[in-house]
Amino acid sequence: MSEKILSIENLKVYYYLHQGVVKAVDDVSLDVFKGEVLGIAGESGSGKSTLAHAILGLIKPPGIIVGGKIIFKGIDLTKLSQDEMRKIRGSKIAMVFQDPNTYLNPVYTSGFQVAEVFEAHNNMKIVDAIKSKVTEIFRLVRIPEPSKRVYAYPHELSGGMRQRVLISIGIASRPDLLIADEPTSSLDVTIQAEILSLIKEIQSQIGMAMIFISHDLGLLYEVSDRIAIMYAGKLVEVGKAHDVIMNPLHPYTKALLESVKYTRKSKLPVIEGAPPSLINPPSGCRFHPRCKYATDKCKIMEPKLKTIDNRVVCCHLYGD
Amino acid sequence: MSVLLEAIHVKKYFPIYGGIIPRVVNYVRAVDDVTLSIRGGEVVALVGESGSGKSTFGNIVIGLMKPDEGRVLFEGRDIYSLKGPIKKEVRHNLQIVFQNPDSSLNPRMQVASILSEAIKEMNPELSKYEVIEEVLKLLESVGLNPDHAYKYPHELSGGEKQRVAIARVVAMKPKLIVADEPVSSLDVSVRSQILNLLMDIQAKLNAAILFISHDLGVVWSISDRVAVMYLGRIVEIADTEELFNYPSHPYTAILLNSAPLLTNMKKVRSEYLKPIGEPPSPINPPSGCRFHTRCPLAKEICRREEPSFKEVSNGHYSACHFIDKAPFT
Amino acid sequence: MDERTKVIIERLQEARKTQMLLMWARFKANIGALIGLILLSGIILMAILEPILPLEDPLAFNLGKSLEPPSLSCLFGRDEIGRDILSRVVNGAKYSLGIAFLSVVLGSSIGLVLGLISGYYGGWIDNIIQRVTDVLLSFPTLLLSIALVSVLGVGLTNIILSVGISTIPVYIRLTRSLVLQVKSEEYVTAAQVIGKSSPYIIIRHILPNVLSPVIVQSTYYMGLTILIAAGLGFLGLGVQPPTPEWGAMIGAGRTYIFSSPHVVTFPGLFIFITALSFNLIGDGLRDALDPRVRVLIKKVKI
Repeated sequence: MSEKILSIENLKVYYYLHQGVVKAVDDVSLDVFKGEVLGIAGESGSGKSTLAHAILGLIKPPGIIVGGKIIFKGIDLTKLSQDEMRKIRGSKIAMVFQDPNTYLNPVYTSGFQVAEVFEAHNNMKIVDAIKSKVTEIFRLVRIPEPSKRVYAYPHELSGGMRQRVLISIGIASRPDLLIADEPTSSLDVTIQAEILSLIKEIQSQIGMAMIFISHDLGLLYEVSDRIAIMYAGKLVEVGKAHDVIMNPLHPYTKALLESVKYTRKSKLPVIEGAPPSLINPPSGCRFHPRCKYATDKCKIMEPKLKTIDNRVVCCHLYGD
Repeated sequence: MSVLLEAIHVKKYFPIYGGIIPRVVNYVRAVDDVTLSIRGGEVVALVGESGSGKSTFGNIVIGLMKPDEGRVLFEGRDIYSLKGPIKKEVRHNLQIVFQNPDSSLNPRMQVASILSEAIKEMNPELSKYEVIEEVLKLLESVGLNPDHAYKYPHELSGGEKQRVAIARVVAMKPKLIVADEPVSSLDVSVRSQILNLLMDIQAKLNAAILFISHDLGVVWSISDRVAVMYLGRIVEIADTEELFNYPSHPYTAILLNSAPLLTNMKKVRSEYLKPIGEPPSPINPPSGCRFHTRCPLAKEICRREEPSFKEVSNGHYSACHFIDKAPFT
Repeated sequence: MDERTKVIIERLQEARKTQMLLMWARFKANIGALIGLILLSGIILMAILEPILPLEDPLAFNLGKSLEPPSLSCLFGRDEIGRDILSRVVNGAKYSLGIAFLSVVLGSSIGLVLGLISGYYGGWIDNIIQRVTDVLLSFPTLLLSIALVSVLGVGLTNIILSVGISTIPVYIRLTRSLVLQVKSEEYVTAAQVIGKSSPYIIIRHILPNVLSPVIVQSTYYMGLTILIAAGLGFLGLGVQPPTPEWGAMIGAGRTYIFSSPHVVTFPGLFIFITALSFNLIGDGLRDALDPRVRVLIKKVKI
C-alpha cells in the first residue's frame, strides 16, 4: 500500500451568494496516493472544480472553506497563509487547466511563461531558465523544434501545442501532485488522444501523483488508476478505474454509464431530471429525485460512505 | 424516399485581408467542393474536427450563407435564387438547432414570446389566445410543462433551454433540420434526454436531419449515414454501420480509434494508426491528398495526386488512393 | 378559451411585472443611485412648483441692492443688478432640465436609428455613416456644439438643437458596436431562419438588447449637456440674458467671482448637483438594467 500524498478530510466549501448559500463541496473525504492517477468525474455543479481550487488554495470570497482539512505531506493546507500557499502552488502542487486560450497570456512568449515557474520558485533568471530548463521541458512534452518554440507567442501555436505549453507550466517544477481540470476538453479528438498519452507518459516518468478531472468517463477509464464520482457536492463512489466503470455500485454511476452506452438506433437510456440546485439541494440523498431505486429512506436520510472491498460507495442500497 | 436536399460542388472561401492597404491576401478554404444529398426523413451525420468546415457547410445548407461556388437545391430549387412566396415556404422548411442554448434564446423574451414568434410566422391569422394555446401544446410536445411559458431563459436549465429551441423548430414544421452539436454544451446526464427528444421529433415530423457532431457515440446511435469531413472536403461517406465497422479512409479509422468510447461498438484496433503531427490550416491545404501530411499510410502518390471518390461498396465512397473494404481490422 | 390558458396569460403578465420589480430592487441597492434620484426629484419638483412658490420676480432688478450677500431675508443674495438669485436659480431650473432632456432625446433617437441601420445592414450605408461619424467625433462635444451654435444662432431652441446634434456621433458609435455584438448572437440568426424580415428583427430583437447601454449613456449625457449648455451660456452663446439660465448667470457674474462669490456659487452648485444626480442615476440604471447583476448578501457569521 503506497503512502498518501494528499488527504482530504470532511471538506466543506460554501459560496455565500445573494440568492442563498451554495454548498459546492459538502463533506468530501478523499485520498490521493503517491504516483497514482485519481480521476474525478462529475457534471456541472458536482463540485469537482471547486475541490481542485480548494486544494490549490484558490478559493476566494464569496467562497469560503467552511470546514475540514486538506493534508498534503503532513501539512494542513487550509490553515496556511496566502504566502505559504504560494510557495507550494506551482511548485509542489501544480495545475493544468482547460482552456489554453484563457490561461496563457497572449503578450508573453510561451517560453517566458514556463520560465516564470523557475523564476518564482527556483530563483532563476528568466533568460537562463528559458535557455536551459524550458527547452528541456518542451522536448519532454514533444513540442517539435523546442529551442525555437520557446520564443513563440501563444497565438503562433496550434491548440494542441498550447495545451502542451500549459502542461509544461504544470510539470516545470516536477511537482508531487498535478491537478488537471478538463485538460483535453477544448481539443479535437485526435489531438486529445495524443495529449492524453503524453500526460500518462510524463506522469509515470516523473512519478508524480495526478488528479484528473473530467466529465468524460471514457477518458477517465483510459487514464486513471482509481476513479471518484462526485454529484451535487458529494462523493458518491470511489474505486479502481476498472471496477467503477465495469461494475458500478452507485445508481448515479450506473445511470451515467448507461446513458453513454450508445446502442444502434434505439432510445438512449435517460436519467430523468437535471443536476440539482446547490442552494436548495434535495433532502436526504441528493440523487434521490433522479434515482430508479429511491426509497422513502433515501428522501429523508443522507447515506454515509461505506467501504466494501477496497471500494467506497455512498448509498443506502449497500446497507447502513 | 426521394432526394430532399442536394448540395452540389459547394465552395465557401473566407477572404483574409492583409497589408497596409487592405487587400485580400489569402483565403480560408472552409468548404472546398462538397457534394452531398439528403433524402427525406433520413438522418445524415456530418463528422469532423475543428477546421473541417462542417459548421460552415451546415450554415450553407440552411440558407444562411451563400456559397461562392456550387448550388444548394431544395426539392429541386436553388435556395439562393428564390423570390416571392416560394422563398418563404423553403425558408420555413429549413430549420436549425444551435449548439449553445444560452445564445439561441433572446434573454429578454419569455418562452411564450419566443415560441409565439414562430407560431405566428406559420399561422399569422391566429388570435392572441389561440397562439398561447398553441404554445402550451408545443411545450408539452417537448416535455416541458405549461409553467415554463412565462419564464425567461435565464430561469431555465441548459436542457430546458434546448427543449425550447427544439420547440421553436417544431413550430415551423420543417422538412430538414440542421442540428449543429445540439448536445455538446449540455451536461452529460441530460444529453440522452435531448437526443431522444430530437429523434422523437424527427419521427413525428418525418424530417431529415443533418446532424453535425464530433461525438462518434451519438452518431453511431442515431444516424442512418455518416459523412466524414477533413479540411473542407468529404473524405468518406457510407451507411453508419458500414462506416463504423469497415472504415476505408485512414482518417476515419484514426477518428474512430481516438475517441474514448465505452460502447460495445467494434473498436478498430490498429496500433500504428495514429495521426502524425498537427492538423494543417485550411488556408494552405496540403497538395495532393489533404490528409497526406498526417497519414501514417501515405505514399508518394498521395503527395502528388488528389484522390477522387471511389466506390468501396454500395453507397460507400472514400477519397483515398488505397481503398480496400476493410484494411484496418 | 381554456381555463389553463387564462391562468398562463395571467402569469405571463405577472412575470413581466416581477422583472420590473427586480429592476427596481437592483436600482435601489445602489445607494448613490437613490441619492441621485432624490436630488433630481427635488430639482424637478422645484421647477414644477416654481409658479406657485413665494418668490420674487427673477427679472426685477434693483440697483440699490446690488451684490447683496446672502442673508436670512434673501437666502442666495442678489446679483450685480440686484436681482434675487434664489428666484433666478429656481426659475432657471426648467431651462437646464429642458435642455438636458430635449437635447438628449433628440440626439439619442437620431443616433439610435442611424446606429441600428449602420450596424445591421452594413455595407456602403454603414461605410458612409461611419466616415461622417469619424469626422464629427474628432471634435470634442463642446466644440461641436459651439460650431453648431455659430451656424444656427443663439437662443433656447438652437441650444437644444446644437447640443442634441453634437451628441449624435457618440450614440451612433455606441449603438453600432452593440448592434454588431447582438447581431452575432444566435437568437438573431434563429429569427432570420424562421423567416422574419430585417425591420422586424431590428425592432423586436436588436433594439431591446441594445437599449440598456443607450439609456445609461443618455443619463450620463443629460448630466453632460447641462454642463455644455452652462458652458455655452457662460460664453454668451447660449440662452440670452435676462433669462436666468444657470450657465449664463455664472458667465454674467464671473467678474465678481472673488468679490461676491455668491453670484456664481449658487448657480454653479445647482449645475453640479443636477449633473451629479444624473450620473448617479446612470450608475444605478446600469446595474438595474443588467439582469446578470447579483447583489452579495452580508457576510455571514460562521
